[in-house]
Amino acid sequence: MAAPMKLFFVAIFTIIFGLTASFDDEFEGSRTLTLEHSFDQGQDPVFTKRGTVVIRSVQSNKATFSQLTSLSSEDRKLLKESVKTDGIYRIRIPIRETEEGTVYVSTFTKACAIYESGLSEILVISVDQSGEVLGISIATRYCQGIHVPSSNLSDWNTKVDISVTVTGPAPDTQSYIEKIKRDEQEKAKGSQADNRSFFSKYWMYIVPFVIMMFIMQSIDPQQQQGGGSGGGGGR
Amino acid sequence: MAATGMNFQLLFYFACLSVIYALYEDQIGKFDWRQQYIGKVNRLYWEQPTSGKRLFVSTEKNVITSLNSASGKIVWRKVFEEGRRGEVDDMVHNGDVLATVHAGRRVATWHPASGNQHWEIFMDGDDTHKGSVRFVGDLVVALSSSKVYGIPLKVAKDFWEVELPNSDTVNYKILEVYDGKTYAVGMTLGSEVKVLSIGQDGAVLSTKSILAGFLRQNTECRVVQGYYLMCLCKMTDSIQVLNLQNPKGFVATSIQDLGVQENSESIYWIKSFNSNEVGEIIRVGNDMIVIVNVGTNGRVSLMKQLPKSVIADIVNYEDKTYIVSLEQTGHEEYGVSLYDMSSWEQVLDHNHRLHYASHHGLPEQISCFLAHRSGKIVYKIVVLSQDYSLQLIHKTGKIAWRRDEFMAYPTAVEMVDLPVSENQAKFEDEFGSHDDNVMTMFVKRVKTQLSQLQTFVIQQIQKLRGVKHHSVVIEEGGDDDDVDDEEDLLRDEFSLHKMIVMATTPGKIVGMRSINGHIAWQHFVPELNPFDRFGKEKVILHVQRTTAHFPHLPQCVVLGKNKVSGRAHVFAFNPINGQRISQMPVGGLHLPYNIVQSFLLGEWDKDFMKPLILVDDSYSVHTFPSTAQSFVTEQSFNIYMYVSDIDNGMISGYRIIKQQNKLVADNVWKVNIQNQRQNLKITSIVAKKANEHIHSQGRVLGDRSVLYKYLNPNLIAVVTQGEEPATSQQKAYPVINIYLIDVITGHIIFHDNHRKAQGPVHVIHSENWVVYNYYNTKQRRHEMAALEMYEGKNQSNSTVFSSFTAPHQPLVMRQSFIFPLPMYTMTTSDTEKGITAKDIIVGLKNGGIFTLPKAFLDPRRPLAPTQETQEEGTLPYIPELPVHTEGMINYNQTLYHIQGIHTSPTGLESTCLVLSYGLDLFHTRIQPSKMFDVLKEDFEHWLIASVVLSMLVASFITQKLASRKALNRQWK
Amino acid sequence: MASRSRKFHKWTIDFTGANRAKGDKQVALVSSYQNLARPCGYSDSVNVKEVDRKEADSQLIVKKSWDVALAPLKQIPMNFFIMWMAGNTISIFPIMMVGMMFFKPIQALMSASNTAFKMIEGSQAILQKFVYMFGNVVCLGLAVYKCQTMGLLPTTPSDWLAFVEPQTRMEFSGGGAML
Repeated sequence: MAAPMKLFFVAIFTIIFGLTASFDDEFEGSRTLTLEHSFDQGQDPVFTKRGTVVIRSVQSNKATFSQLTSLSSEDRKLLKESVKTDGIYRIRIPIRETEEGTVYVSTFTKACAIYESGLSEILVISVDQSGEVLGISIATRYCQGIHVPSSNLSDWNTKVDISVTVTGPAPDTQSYIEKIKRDEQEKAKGSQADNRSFFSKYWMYIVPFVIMMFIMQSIDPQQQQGGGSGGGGGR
Repeated sequence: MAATGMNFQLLFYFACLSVIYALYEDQIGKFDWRQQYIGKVNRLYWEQPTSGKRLFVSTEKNVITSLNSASGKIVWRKVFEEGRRGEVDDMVHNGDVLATVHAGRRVATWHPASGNQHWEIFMDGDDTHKGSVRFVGDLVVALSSSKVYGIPLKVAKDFWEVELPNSDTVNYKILEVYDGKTYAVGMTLGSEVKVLSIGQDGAVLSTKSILAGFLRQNTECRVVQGYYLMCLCKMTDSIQVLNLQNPKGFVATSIQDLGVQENSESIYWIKSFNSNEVGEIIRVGNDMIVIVNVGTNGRVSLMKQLPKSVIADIVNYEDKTYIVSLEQTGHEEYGVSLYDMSSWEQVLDHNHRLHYASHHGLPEQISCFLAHRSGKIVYKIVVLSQDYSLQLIHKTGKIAWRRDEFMAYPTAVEMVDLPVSENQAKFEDEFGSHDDNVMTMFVKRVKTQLSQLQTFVIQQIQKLRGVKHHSVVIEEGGDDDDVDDEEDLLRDEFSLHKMIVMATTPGKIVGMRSINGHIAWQHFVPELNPFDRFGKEKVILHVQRTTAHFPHLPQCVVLGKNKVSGRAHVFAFNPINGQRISQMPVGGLHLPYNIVQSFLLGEWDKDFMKPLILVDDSYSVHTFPSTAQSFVTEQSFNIYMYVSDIDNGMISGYRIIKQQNKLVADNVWKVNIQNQRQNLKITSIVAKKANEHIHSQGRVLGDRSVLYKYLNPNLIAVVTQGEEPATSQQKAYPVINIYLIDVITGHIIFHDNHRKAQGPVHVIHSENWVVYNYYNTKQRRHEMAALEMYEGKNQSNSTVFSSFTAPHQPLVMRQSFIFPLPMYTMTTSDTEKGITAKDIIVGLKNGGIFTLPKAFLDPRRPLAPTQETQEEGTLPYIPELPVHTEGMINYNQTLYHIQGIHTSPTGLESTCLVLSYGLDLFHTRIQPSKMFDVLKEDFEHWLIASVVLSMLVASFITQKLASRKALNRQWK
Repeated sequence: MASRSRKFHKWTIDFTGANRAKGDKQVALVSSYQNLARPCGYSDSVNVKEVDRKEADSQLIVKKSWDVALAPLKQIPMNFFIMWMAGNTISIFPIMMVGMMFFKPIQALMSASNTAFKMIEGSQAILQKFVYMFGNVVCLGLAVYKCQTMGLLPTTPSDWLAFVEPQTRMEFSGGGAML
C-alpha cells in the first residue's frame, strides 16, 4: 500500500522540480536586493533600510538575508505599539528605476505575528525566469497574544525562499504514444505466450476446488457418524 | 495485466460517456429556449417595388437579415464573423439584389428572398476604411480605401477598377451615384475635398479638388438630393454645400439665415435609412426638426419647420413626396402625421395615436412605407429607438411588433430567486421568531392557515370561471399571446424559475423569466455607460439583497460610467418587479466622483444588505447605500481590495483604514508582473465566484487518505500576454503567464508560463482549481491546462482560513490537454451545495455549447492506471479531450457570437441553470451528475403504490385466514 | 431411584422422566415393590456399578461442556475460510457472509445465558463459560477485521471528510482592473 504512495509523491516531485530544472535560458547569477521596512500605519509610510537579500542561485533556491543592524529600541517600541493597535508591519524591495521614481514590490503582515515569532520569518521572493522580481511575501506564525521578552526582539532570524516561474504544463502526447505502443507490444507478446498448459493456467481455480472436495468428503462421513452415535445414545 | 488495464481504460471511458447528459427528442424546447437577435439596425430597406412584406436590414452586430414586416420574425439571417472582419459597412437594395461591403474590402451580392450569396470579390485597400456600395445601371460600384470597382450584377467577371488619386492622404468616404455617373468624394481634413466622377464604363470623367478649410474631425457630410454634398459645420454653425455635378466651390449658409425661430447653435443630421431627392431633415438645437432643401444656386433654404415633431422622414410614393412625422401628444403617447410635401396638408383622415413606452427612450430613426388600400393611404413605420429596439407601427397607429435588440448587447447578467408567496413568507416568519408566547403563536398559526385557505378557495373559484388575474396590462397590440406571462412571480417548488437580470450597452436593464425568456420588466437608464475592461464593455451588476429576507425587499445595483461626465453612475432596483428603490431618480444616481474600483462586500449588515464599496480616484472609500458607511467602518479591519494597472503590469493591494472620520484605502502591497523585455499586458483577472459553496474539503485518495484542498477564497488568477523579442538564434514568439495571487497579502502562490502560446486565454477559477485555454502556436492547436492546489495530507487549520497564516506553498498539480475546437468562452457549473460534480461549459465557435465533466480536466489523471488510481476514480491520461455530440447542450440550435455563459444554482442540488448570451440568448438546465435527487419522469408511482397497497391487503387477509385455520385446527 | 408414592402398582412405566436426572429422559421400567424377590441373575454389585456410572457421567458432562465451550473457537478456521472465499469486493454475497459472521457470535452472546450456559455444567463451568465467551468475541473480532479489510470501518480521515466543515474566511476582498 505504501509503495505506490511513495511512488506517487516521487512522481509529483519530479513533475514539479524536474520541470523547473529544465530551462535553457535560466537566469543564473547572483543578485542583491535591498530590503526596507516600516512600522508606520498611515497612508504614507516611511521606510528604513533593514538589510539585504542576496540571491545566489534562483534554480537551487539559494538566498540569504543579512541584516544591516539589529532592531533599534525605538523600532522595538513602535513594533510593540502597533501590536497593541493590531497594526501592520510593511516591507518592500526596490526593483527598478523609472522616470516617475522607484518601482517597489511590497507586502505586509500583522505586526503581532512578527512580534510573537520573535522576529523570525520566512520571506518568499517570487522571481520570473529572467530573474526579475515579481513580488515578495512574509510567512509567519499565528497570533496568540503571547508576550515576548525584549531580548528576543533584537536580531532578525530570516529565511529566504525563492519561488521561480515554472514552465506550464504541455499535453504529454509523447509518453502516451509510447504507452500505447508498449501496451500493443505486450498484448502481442501476451497472445503469443498464452500457450501454457491448461493446468498451469487455471491451477488457482482447480486447487481450491479439489481441496473443497476433500474437505467435503472428510466432513460427510463424520457427520454420518455423529448422527449414528446420537442414535446410539438413546439406548 | 496490460490487457486488463486496457479494458479498464475502455470501461472508464464508457462510464464517462454515460454520464453525459443528453436530451430525448420529445424534450426539445421543454427545458430550454433560444432567442435570436440581430443587433442595432444600420441600414434598412423595404422589399421593393411595392409589396413591403419584408424588410432587409444590416446591423452593427455584423448581421444582414430579412424580417417579415407583418410579424417581425426573422426570415433569414446571415451572421458574419466577430470584429472588424465581419462588419457590414454598407448595404444597398434595388429590388432584385442586395449588395454589401464588409470590412472595407469584401463586396458581395445576395438573393433577397433566400439570402443566398451570388458572388463575392475582394478589393484592394485598407480594411480599416469604411467601404461603400451603390448600384448604377447593371453594375455594382464599390469604394475601397484606394479604388472604385464596377462589377456586373450577374457575375463577378470583367469588372473595372479605378485607382483613386492620392489615396494615402485623402480619405475617400463617400460614394454616390446620380444620373448614371458615379461620384467618389475624398476629404483631407482642414484643406480640401476631391471629387471624382466616373462613367459606367469605368472611365474617369473628371477629377476636381475644391478647397474646404472648414473640414474637421467632427464635420459630418452627406449627399443630399442626389448630387449636393452637404456638410454640417459645427464650428461656424453653417451648412456648406457643393454641387457634385459641377464642383466649383462650397456655398455656405449660416443657420441664422435659415430663419429658424429657436435660437440654437448646434445642428445635427437626423439619421435616415434611405436618401431622397427632395429635401433633407435636420435637427436644430435639441428639439427642433426642420426640412431644408438646396436651391440651384447651392443655397440652403428652409422648407418647413416641424415644431412638435420628435422625428421625421421623407417618403416618395407614386410620384409624390410625403413627410411622416412622430409628434409627442402626451405621456407615452405619440401622434403620427403624414404631410403631402407639395401642399403641406395632413393626408391622414384622423388622428393616429400610438402608445410608445418611455422605457424605449427617444425614437432615433424612422422609415416609412406607404401603400394604397381601398382608396386611402396606409402606412407602416419602422421606429428605431434609443434603446436599440425596433418597432413597427401599423396603419391604425398600433404597434404590430417589437424587436428588443438591446438583448444582443448584454454587459452583465445575474439570476435572482423569485420570492416565496406572502403566505409562505408569513409561515416561515412564524417559525423564525422565538420570543412569542404560545398564545400569539397559536393565533398566528390560525391566521396564516385561514389566509391560505382563503387564497386556495379564491384560486379554485377562478379556475372554475376560467379567469386569469391580470397584472400590469400594457397595450401591445396582441403582442404577448402567452398566458404564462400573467402568472405571479412566485418561486416554484425547486426554484427552477428565476429572474434573469441583464444590463445592456444602451443602458437598458431588463428582467426576464428564466422559464420562457419573456421580459417581465424593463428600465431604461440612458445615461449609464459601460466601463471598458480589457477591451470589453462591462457594467457592474450585483445582487445586494436576495429574496430570502422577507419582509425586506430584494435589491440589485448597477454601476457604470455616466455618458457625459464619465463619473460613476449607479442605479438600484428591485430585481423582481423592476421598480427602482425609493430615493432613486428615474435616470439613476449620478455620483460626484470617478471610481477606480468597486466591489460588493461579502457580509451583510443588519438589514441583510450587502453594501457596495466604491473607491474613487483619490482612494477615498464610499458605500452604496451611503447608510452602510458605519457598517463598513466596523468591518474595515478585514476588508481588502486590489486594483490592477493592466498596461504597466502592476497589481496593488489596499486595506481600508479610518482617517479623519473618513474611510480611505491604504496601499499595503504591490506586485510587479511586468517584464519589460516581453512587454506583458494583463489580459484577464479571474476571482472565484463570491457565493460558491464547496461541499468537500478534500479528495479521497486510493489508499483512503485525504488530500486536503487549498481553498483560499481570496485567490485570483491573473493572465498576462506578451511577446519574447527575436534574438539572433530564434524568431520572436508569443508568451503567456499565469499567476495565482493571494490578494490579501500579495503573495504569489504559483506562477507558470507558456512559451509559443497566445491568447485569447479563457480562465475558469473555482474551488481549488484553475482551468485555462490558450492557443499553442508551435503545435497549432488549442490546449487546456488544469491547475489544482492542495494543502497536503493535513489541513493547516480546519476552522478558519486566514491568508496571513495559510500554507504559503501549497502543492500545485498541473496537466495539459488538447482541446480540439476553438472557443468563445467557458465557465463552470454551479450548484446549491457544491455536492454535484462540476462540468466545464464551453461556448464553441461552431455555435455549440459543450459540457465536459471536470474529471477529464484532472491533473491527477495517471498515464498508467494502477489499482490505487482506479480506486480513486481518476481516468487514465489521454492527451486529447473527447468532444461528443451528446455533450452539446444546445443540440442543433446554433448560437452566434457567444459573449459569456452564466450559471446559477437551483433549489435542486443536481440541477444548474445555464444562460448563454451574445447575439443569441439560450437558456437551459444541466445536470452534471445526472438527476439524482428527483425521480425520473417515467417513474411508475401508480404501480409502486398499487403493489404496496395490494401487499398490505394481502397480508391482512392472509393473516385473518391463517388465524381462522388455526382455530379450526384447534377444534378438531 | 424408585418412586414410593405409587404403591398401588406393581410396576409402572414412567414416560415423563420427571424423577430422573436432567438430560436423561428415558423411558424406564421402574419396579414399585422393593421387597419382591430378586429376579434371576440379579446381583447387588450392580449398585456399585451405578456409582461408577455417576462418576463417568460427571466426566462426560465436563467433556460435553468443553465441547460446547470450545465450539466457537473451532469455528474460527471455518470463518477464515469463509473470509477468504468472500473476497474484498463489496457485493451482496460477501456482505451477507460478513453479516452472518457478525450475527452469529452476537446472537450467541446475547442468548448465552439461555442456551449455552445451561448446557455447561460441572466443576469447570466458570472457565468454560469464559472460554465460550472468549471464542465468540474472537469470532466477532474476526468479523470486524473482515470489515476492516473490506474497507467498511470508518477508520481513515477520508471517512470523516463529509463532516469537515468549510473553513470560515477571515478576510474579505474585491477588486479587479482599474475602471
